Amino acid sequence: MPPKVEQGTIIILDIGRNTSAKDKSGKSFFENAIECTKRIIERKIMSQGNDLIGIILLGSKKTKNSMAEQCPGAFKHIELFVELEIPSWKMIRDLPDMPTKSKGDWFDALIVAADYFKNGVSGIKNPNKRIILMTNFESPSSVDENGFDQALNGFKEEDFQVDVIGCDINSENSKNNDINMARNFVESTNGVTAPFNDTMRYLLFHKKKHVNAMPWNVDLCIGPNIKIPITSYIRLKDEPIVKKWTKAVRDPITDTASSTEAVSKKTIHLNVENKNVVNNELIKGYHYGQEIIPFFECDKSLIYESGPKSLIVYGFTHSSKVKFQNLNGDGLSYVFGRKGDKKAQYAVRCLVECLLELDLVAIVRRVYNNGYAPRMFALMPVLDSNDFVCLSMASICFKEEIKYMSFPATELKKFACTNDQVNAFKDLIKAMDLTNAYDDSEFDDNEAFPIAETISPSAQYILDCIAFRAMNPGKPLPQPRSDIMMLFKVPPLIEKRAAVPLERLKTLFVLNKVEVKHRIKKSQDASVTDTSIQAEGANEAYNDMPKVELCIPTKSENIQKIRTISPISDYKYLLSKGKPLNEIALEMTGAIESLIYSNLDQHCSKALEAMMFFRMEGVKGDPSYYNNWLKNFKTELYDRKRSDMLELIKEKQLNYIWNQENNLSKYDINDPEEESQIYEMDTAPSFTEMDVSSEVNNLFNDM
Amino acid sequence: MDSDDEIEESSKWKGRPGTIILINALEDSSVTAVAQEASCRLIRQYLRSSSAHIIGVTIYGTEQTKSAFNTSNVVDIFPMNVPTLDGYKKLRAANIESYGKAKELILSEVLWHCSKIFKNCNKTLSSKTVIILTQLNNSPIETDRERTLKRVIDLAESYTEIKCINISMNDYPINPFYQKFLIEANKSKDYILPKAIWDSKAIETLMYIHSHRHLAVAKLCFEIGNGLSIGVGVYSLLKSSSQSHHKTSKLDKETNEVVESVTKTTKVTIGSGNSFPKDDNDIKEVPLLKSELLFYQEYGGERIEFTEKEKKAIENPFGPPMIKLLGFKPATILCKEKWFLKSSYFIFPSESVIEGSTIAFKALHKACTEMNTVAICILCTRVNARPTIVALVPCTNPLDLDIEIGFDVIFIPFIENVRDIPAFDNTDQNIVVENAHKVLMKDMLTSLQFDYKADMFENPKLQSEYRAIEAKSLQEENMEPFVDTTKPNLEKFQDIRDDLFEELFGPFGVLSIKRSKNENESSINTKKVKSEDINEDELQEKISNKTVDSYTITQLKNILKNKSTSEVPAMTGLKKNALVNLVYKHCK
Repeated sequence: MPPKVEQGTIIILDIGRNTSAKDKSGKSFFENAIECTKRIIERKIMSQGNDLIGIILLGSKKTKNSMAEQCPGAFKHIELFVELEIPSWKMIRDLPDMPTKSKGDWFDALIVAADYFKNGVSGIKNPNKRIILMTNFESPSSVDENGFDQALNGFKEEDFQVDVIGCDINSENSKNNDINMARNFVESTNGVTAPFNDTMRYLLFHKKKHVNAMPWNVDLCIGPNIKIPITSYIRLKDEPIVKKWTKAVRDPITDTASSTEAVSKKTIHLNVENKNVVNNELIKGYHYGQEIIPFFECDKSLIYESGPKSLIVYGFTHSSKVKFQNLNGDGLSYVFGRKGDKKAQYAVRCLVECLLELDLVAIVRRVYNNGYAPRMFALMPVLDSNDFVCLSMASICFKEEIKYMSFPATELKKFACTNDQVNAFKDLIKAMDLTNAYDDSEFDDNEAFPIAETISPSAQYILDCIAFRAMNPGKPLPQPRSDIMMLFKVPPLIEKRAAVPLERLKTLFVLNKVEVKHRIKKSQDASVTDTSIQAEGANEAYNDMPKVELCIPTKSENIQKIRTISPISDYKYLLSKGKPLNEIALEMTGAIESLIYSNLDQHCSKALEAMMFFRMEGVKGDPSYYNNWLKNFKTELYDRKRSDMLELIKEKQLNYIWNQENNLSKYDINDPEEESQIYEMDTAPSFTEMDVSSEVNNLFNDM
Repeated sequence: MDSDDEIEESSKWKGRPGTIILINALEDSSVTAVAQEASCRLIRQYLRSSSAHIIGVTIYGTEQTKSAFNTSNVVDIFPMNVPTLDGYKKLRAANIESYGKAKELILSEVLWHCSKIFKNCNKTLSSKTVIILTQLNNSPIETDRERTLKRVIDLAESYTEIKCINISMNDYPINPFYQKFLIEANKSKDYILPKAIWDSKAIETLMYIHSHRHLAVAKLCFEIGNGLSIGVGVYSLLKSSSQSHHKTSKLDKETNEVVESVTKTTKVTIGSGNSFPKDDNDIKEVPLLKSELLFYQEYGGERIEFTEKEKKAIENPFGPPMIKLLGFKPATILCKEKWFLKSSYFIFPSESVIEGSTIAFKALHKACTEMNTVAICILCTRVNARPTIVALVPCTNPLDLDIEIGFDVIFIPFIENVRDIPAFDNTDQNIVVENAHKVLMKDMLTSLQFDYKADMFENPKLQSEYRAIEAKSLQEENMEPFVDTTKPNLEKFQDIRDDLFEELFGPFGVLSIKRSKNENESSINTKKVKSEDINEDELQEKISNKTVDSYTITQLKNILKNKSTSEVPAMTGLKKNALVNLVYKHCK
């Protein structure tokens, strides 16, 4: 069967001498026409429809058409450049790049196109025949009135549509007789006409992908005996913009897909012995908690039978009960009485009107096809702006799909808002009314972002990129066009109007951005090292000096907090200055952590030294600072999978300060609770044993 | 009922939620029975969804002591872990009465027990929750009150949520001690006393709400204008319909062991042109490097190729996740029957993104509600999500849940989402529906009217699957009977006058059948004419000249039907070439 063709378009492109003159904007008619043709073809390619395109060059050097073959000497400089075929990138590439020195007769070209439609195309059923004429009519036609009328009648009879693009033919009192003739042609064939600017604006965005509407036929059942035959079509659906990407292997030489190598994808199933299990040796198992129950062991009689394909009314409910929140599914379908069944259409019509009058919607159980899992749908009456009087069908949620979320209480005193605050938002709402977003002159409609008429920026960009890559292989992809980015912007007029209310709002609310916690930590860490590096730079002699002892007197004035560069001496210094121990301890642990996490010294020797010092301080004084910190720190290390550090802590005997070392410690070496805690902290059980035993040994030695 | 699939981008959500359920054994046996039933249901719910939540169940106020840390008067039914069948069976079998009742209530020990359990949990916890199932009329003994409050503070400070579920048939004055208790548990002066609740299903739902983690799809700064933003969390209150299936794995038929599925992508050599290697052994498989991979789409008869990096880049060049206000429109523009594209999101103020957001959010909510307007925004929830236009519609108690405030985030279809409806013969505006017909229809509609609730339909396929599995694994005898909530009660339809309906509106389908019959007849006629058209001599001539392909497909089929000399195979779906070959073969 030949492919079903929706539309056949022949573009008559004038490339004659008369098109070479440049206009005010510095572009010739020829350039504009080529650009416009390219865009038309590109859009046809990208929409993947069933349309065909043919191109006739007017004013070509060559003469190639069947009319000229039939009447030698006539129909000159008209070339059938591309026969009606599926639009391709090759068509665009092959378009001429400069005007010729010849001239052709536009009227003859129309005749050639019509003849080609009638006699040149075979085997294609072509319901919609369109001829787009792109010429500036500066090469007058030689047709006489008689011939013109004859042709026009023929065009009407054959149902051709003639469009004229690129030339303003609308002014009634044009002196150019050709233009008057062309207008007559366009009007008589219900064609359209537009200058290049408007055409390009109309062609600015890609057409939506062509989809064949698939009817879903079923009987709408109300009770056991009422069965109304209906047909449903998908109306709204969020579909992927492009088909699934196909994978190919890159040929290293050409940088394009290889013709000798392909990608192969295989899934294999390995059992416990690492052996491949073939597909028919596999069965389904249901997860239940941590167990997996093989499907065949389940009682088959308990498996649900959903029944045949059906649409059964459950009941009717007030339309306000079904809100957007309740709808859960994939788009919307429109439901009509079955095509060809006037009685069914009448019954649906009656149902729609009654639902509207009573403000009800129907809830129905739908089984899409025999045995498919059922879903519940709402059937709602629609009076569409496209004159559809029908029902729309959208899926509603099952109980199992409700997540039962809870949110913190907001009806609290601390969250109360004032009337002023509410009114300020009301002013903003008034100022930012999108139904009145543009000056009357600017667009036909004043509404910004109209529903279902706004283009999707991502869809347009992906298609842009594909079209760009097709014409410019190997070149880097462009950034999104500004036409696409418009969607992200508040319309300028609205933005202007909103300025005042916005300023007022800013004064009424206290809104403080919360920095993400771990980020603060990082930046603090960074600042710790930063300042120390600065300090280092400030005192260049530092590096040459013996390390530990001397840095205290040299920089003593500057030290405000413990730095990673010399934590032990800083600790001692700050303690001597009388800084509270809890603050010092916090700074100390901070310094140790940043030393370890930032890997400043590779073997963590400085950190371990600091830990050892800090631990000794704890043994001598209050052990809780060390112990409390260590507990969290070990958890942190565990989370960060720093088993190396955990090992080192064990090795260097830097574990908790035990009760036996300092009786203020609540960590008892013999306490099973703490033991189990340590056990949980580490993956290696030996850790506890060794650690404890060494500690115990020390302890007994001391005693 | 879980949302593990939602990947939260922030790393602080790592880990799983941990919950300890505490049941007060000092209460009346009817109360503990309800508590036990509800806990069982909750565990079963988590078993069904094979959730990774970590749950422990502990009875307190018992005479006996059977606990991990030898905390007195506490019985651990099962320790905190991923719910198992075993644990469920234990809980179901447990006889709370048999543990006896302690002489006095020492709540501080119980809470200390909880903090120890959390501390010793060897899994990373994303949240810690203690749910206490009790009545709130008996306070702990005098000496324990201060200590209990101290423990509550400790727990609250270590980010543990303490929730009390007030199990009671009727309202009663709540002991003032628990008011203090709740103040400390909420770390604030504002608190709400838990309402008395008795139905075990409702308690299960409440426990589920408390124990569940609520991951946001995204946490964003909602940009109202330049320099003014509100912190919001974007959530989905519903799981997508395609997710609500039972988790399954592939098993080896022989051993019932789970198999590990590995997908390998390799590079194979294909012969140039049509000559495919005949044997599988001929194909050389070589590991494929990522840099060797190209992705392509076919447009205009050519392959348009992209590298993996480019493919990623073109999917979202619009930058990081965001939500930005574009303006407002009247709420009436949003008709669910016209513009429902996909399940909505829900936004709630987030103090953790911007402090002070709740107040601004509430003011905006109130302003929108009072002016009956919706906010139009551009939303992009993830780095790799397509930006979309959404309408924020103020709502309260979505899906009848206990949520005080929020906005429904409704996706507004783009032009690309709209499909054309084929030209239809019933768009005739002139159909006038007769009044008598309307009266009958309306009678029917009103007699079948009911109150729709979001949770009234259960997925029958899933429910029966659960029961089939539970019948096997729990060997429970007192299984809940399976009720198919999706099927209407036929009794309700007894009163509708379907005979009259048929009389007034019917019969349906007659016209269409007639039409198709006519069509069939006419097509048969034309076929006959065509087959007669075919000239035997011409056919033979064409066969001998090998020009049979000049016939049309219909002609070829007719030739095969009428003129074939031998048995012809089925012809449906064959290409013209194949038909031509058949003619050469069968019509000599």
